[in-house]
Amino acid sequence: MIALHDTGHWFQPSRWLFRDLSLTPTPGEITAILGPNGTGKTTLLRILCGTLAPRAGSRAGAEAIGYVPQALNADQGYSALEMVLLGRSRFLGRFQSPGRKDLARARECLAEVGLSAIAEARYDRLSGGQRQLVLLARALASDARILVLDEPASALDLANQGIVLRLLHRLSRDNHLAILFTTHHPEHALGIADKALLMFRDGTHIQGPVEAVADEANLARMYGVPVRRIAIDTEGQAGFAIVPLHQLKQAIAS
Amino acid sequence: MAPHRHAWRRRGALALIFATLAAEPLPSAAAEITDQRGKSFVFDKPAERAVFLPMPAASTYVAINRSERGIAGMNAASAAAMRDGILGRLFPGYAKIATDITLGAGTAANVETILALKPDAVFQWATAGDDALTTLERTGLKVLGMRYGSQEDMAGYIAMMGQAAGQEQRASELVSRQAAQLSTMKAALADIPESQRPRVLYLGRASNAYRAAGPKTFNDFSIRLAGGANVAAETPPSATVTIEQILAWNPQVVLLGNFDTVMPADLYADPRWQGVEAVRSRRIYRMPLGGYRWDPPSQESALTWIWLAGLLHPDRAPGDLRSRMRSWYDFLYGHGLSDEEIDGILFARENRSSTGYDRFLAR
Amino acid sequence: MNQRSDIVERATVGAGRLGWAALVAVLFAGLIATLLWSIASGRYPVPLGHVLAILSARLAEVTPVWSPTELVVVEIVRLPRVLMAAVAGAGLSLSGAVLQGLFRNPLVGPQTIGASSGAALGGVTAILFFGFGVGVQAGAFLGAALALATVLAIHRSDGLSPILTLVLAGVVVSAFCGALVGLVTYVADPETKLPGIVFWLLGSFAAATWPKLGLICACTALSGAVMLGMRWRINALSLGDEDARTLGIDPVRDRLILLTATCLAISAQVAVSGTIGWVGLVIPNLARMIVGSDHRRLLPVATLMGATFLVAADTLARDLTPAEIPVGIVTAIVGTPVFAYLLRRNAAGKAR
Repeated sequence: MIALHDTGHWFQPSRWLFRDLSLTPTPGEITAILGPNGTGKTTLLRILCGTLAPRAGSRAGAEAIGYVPQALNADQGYSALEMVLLGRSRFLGRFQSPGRKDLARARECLAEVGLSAIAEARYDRLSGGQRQLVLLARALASDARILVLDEPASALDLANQGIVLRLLHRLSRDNHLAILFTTHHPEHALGIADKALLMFRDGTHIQGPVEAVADEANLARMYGVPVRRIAIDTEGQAGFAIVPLHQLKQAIAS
Repeated sequence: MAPHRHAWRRRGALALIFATLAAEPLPSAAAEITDQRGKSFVFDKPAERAVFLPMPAASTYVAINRSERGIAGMNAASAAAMRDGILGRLFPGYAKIATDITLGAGTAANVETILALKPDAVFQWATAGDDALTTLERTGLKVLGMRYGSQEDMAGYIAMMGQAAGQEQRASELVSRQAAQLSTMKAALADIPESQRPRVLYLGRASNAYRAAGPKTFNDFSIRLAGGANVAAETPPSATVTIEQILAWNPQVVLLGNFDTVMPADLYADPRWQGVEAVRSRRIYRMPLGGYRWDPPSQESALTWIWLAGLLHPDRAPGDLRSRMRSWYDFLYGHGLSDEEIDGILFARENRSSTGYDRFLAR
Repeated sequence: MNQRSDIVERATVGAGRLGWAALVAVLFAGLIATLLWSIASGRYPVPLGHVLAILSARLAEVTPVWSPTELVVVEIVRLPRVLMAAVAGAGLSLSGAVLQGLFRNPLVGPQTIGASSGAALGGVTAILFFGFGVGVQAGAFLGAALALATVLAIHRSDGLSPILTLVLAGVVVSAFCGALVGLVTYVADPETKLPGIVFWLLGSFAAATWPKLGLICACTALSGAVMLGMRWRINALSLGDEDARTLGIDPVRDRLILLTATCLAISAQVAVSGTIGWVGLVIPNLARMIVGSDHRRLLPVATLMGATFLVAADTLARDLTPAEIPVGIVTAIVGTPVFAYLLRRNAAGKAR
């Protein structure tokens, strides 16, 4: 398994984004990485994926990681199926093209995210939610045991957020994948994650079981805003709502 | 516009010749010279330090003066032609003449170098745009414009050079000798019917690309004069043509110019050329290189015509080439040509195997 | 699932397997037809029947109905020239498609990233010092490789907007090479060297011979095999380095291999026929309109279309008038309006 040992990184000298950070993805476990903008969440993911060398500490293991970047924009007009097929690249030699087995696996992964119907549609003309799911299917097609996602739900509407979160949860439980994802939504972390990593502006961090770590005090400290964490249990659905106290009413009144 | 200008040019050339003759009684006094764009200059005394930007001009000036003295600067390509040809041996002093008067190897003037030579006359093409002349004129130099192309243009600038050098007599003799040869040629060959004119192709370049001389070029004029018909009658004046076009023209005679290194043997051996009549009858000739290249207009053009007529119409050709070369070289450069020198000029070795060339060779 | 309802525009990419096979067959037939048309047309009249007879004489016993000159025209003049145009067009278009994929930019071509002008500079320098010959190919390859290396070196020093700096670096290097080419033409002997250099720079297949055809065929076949072989890998590379790395491939080495291959193909073309612009830029875009972006389909189609296009352009160049028009002028006249259209279309697509 991949593991990070006491890693640290900075882009401007003596301004550590984070340091002494250790992380070990565990099969069947979901880790949510929380933190305000600029605390190095994406940087941490890049170090985890091995595409960036940390300034301090080390990365162990050589296992494949299925990485799902944010589905921002696409400048190549590939079909959805071709995008998913690209996930098979690590099994193909330099002069090899995907064969029948790869195609079958790609279709399987596309079915897993529920997009079989749009296999031939152009990726760059899909909606943001569909693109996110296609990229997820691409990561699945790489048959990696670790899945790393960069803000998988940030650009999605509520319904699509639900689709992605349920899918991640199912993959972790049924396929026994180790899943890590960054998010700006503490309630997503509380909804599906087992563990949480909170990254603070001063370069420190804490991690642990999600419900223990993502409490009102830590969230308030992290975002710099008073936060209420409200437990909800209606019609058999349990969950948390996170309400930031922005004092908007007062601001408008004054 | 064009015919009008042409008529003007002709009058200008005649006027120059008259001026030359009229100036005779006043030896080396103040002379007014009108150049070939119609601009007049007053020379108090003959030019002693002339600079020549056009490539053929320096060798013509050498012929008019029978000396390389009086030339303060010339085009590097002119010096190269002298070095490779016979002129360098006749006038070894050419090597001391400044050649850094152009930018690069072109004809664009390096104004400061020319100024440093302190010239009293600068010769430049008047056909390369006004800028070529005005950049020099702005510095107060006397810039004499020369026109390039026809026999008349050349007669005009030879007369102009004669005036500048104080050698009107020699210049007008050169012009009238050429004119005399011209009318001899016309008398002997002008009435040849079209059907008896060999189809001739002149190639300025023949390696990599074929460059033919179309209508209104000097080569077209020479071919016509010597009793031939230019096959490239419907192309632009200087046209790159394909081998297929040449096969379609099927020329009976091919003339190779001196701006390339290709020799008759190269084309005789080229498989693509095997269908061309000139190859089958072995009538490809490299044009001679004397005091200057024989393909563009020069002081030796009369010899070009005799040479060409001797190849196209051996039965009607006026005069023996070798003896005419001797008398022309004696007149132009005061030099008696040896047989070896004549063979060298005529590319005897390279042309020997071509049909009819033996008539030019020493026996 | 509600995903289905999201699909406003369901533009399908590519046709089925059958449609694909039919398309390739049509393009191939088109290429063969264009080759035949080109071989049968020229300033020297050769009846089509004689052309076909001469061509088939290679394969079977045919009574010679043709004249010796007709044989020379077809076998020595036209055949190497037509085939050379085809190979050059294929190589340019394929290289252009690969470069557009690698740099994720449909406006990139052999010219825009400096390879063509580098090759031209190398070739011109070789002509200046050694004359026409094998040195031209070596000089052109060296020039193209150096130009590309320079472009990549400039590119590396900026990490912010890789695609933009790459194209700009190409513009800079092209301009520099262009200036040096100008310098070389300036110092070249205007009587003996310059006309040849100028004609070569404008681009022409007039000097086509069997040995030159052999040279360009060998280089193009080698580099084409690499580029076509890596057609799937180019798909992965076209996603960008970060994505490619997370997909488990090494983008740096793969890109180096592909760039070397494009350099080889481009420089071989430049060496035998001078710079010919626009083919490598416009044809891949047209091919993309037909088969989409998947390089598995794009590369073969662009190759076939490039060959067809350049053969047609060269046939017009040599047959329209008695004096030959440089083929680079024909491709530019056809290519620039198409490029302008693509530019507009591209801008409109971005705005949408």
